[in-house]
Amino acid sequence: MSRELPQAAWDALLDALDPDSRERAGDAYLELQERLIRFFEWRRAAMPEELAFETLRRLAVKFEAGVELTTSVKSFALGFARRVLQEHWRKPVETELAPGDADRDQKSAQAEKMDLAAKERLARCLELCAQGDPAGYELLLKFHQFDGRDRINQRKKLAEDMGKTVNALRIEACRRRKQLRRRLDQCLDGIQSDEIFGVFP
Amino acid sequence: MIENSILKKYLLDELDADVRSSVEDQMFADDEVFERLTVIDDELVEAYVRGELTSAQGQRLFRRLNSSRRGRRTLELMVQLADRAREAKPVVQEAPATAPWIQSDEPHPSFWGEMRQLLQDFVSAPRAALVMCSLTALAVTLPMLHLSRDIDTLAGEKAVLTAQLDALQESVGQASLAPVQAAFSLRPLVRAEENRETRLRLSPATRSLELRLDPGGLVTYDAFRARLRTRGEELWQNEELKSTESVDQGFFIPVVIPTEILSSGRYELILDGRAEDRYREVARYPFDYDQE
Repeated sequence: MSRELPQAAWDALLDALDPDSRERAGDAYLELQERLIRFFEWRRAAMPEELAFETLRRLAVKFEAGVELTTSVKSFALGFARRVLQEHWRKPVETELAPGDADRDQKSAQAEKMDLAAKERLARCLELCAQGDPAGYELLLKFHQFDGRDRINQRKKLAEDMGKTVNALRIEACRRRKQLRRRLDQCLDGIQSDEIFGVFP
Repeated sequence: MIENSILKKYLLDELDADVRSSVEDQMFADDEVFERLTVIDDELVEAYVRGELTSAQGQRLFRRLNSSRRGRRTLELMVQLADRAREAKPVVQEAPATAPWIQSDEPHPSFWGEMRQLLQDFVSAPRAALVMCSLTALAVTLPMLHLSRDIDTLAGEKAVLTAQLDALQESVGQASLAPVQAAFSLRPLVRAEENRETRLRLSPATRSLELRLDPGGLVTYDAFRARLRTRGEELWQNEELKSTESVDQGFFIPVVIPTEILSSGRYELILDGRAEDRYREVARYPFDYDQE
């Protein structure tokens, strides 16, 4: 899978996403990338980020070659994503876990035993990320407090206090969790804290 | 509008290929569908961490999460958040069903301990009996206190006790007066009444809302399904509902909705009828829900 993306292809993709504004095109790119990653994750691909990049790369090459869309860029991207996923499943990659793999359970059991050091690192990073966005972190803790009916009541009360509906609160919590997750990924991948909070203030 | 139940099945890998493909088409064509998928996915992971999924669902979700490093991190983050939320001091809580001091774990002097036990026994008693018995307890206990405590302390404790009794009486009174279930009859919306307002106002103590749906015509279906929507999102549904009959209302379909899923706002209940194993929409019942 190539990691190369020629500048001309990159420009063609951004033009397709938004011909009038590079900033908006960049946002649209990140949004499409997120959707593709989720698609591959929900289809149980082992490397969602890699497959999303490959999809975007092929999409960019297609736009560079000149293609007339009869649908939205996102829907057009889905066709590429499905093809990438099919190809991925056909590959005999050791780390791949396609549906129906006989040794899936064994691999899962091995993966379940998370290294203690990695857990500690995750806890430390979470602490660091929480300090970077205390309000968001506190909201998430309140959102996840309690069980059963107490949790339902807690969320209703929390939503009332924030002047939102419970559904709006669910979406807000999801967004906060996504932001926290981005910072956490950066921390776990070895990026310094000032870079983390610089990129995602 | 694709239903949340379908999105949940997609995320749990419970759909046939055709339906799965259709969900994916909509996920890429409609931002709102993608956003709902992400919210439901987070909630499924939370439910898994809390042990609230069925065994089969839990296994499927775990396999998916465990398929990628990203999924494993998602799971681990939710475990950490749930653990930390559990350890965190509660900041917001619902007003307790009984007077707060009864549930307090703080140490009580023996006098308070006795009174606490006494009043706990009275929580389920009728209001009038409670008031009389509590005042009797006060009348007996306060002179005894007077023997061993100075008058200032006694006056202070009496004031506190009186306030606590008031809180308790108010709590018990509300519980006994408020209905556990409230019932309303709804007639179906017709085109000419699109702006019709039906406002249902319930006290916070009401646990469930019974809606008696007038089907607006002949009841020829094998069974019914009720779907509750708000802001374009399906909140809840119930299947295998049967019609019933009363002298004053004629035929109606009773639907009981737990109020815990409701907050003040506009809702629409959609009634589907099943015939030959297929559901078709029969009627819609818009209403505004107000929690007092």
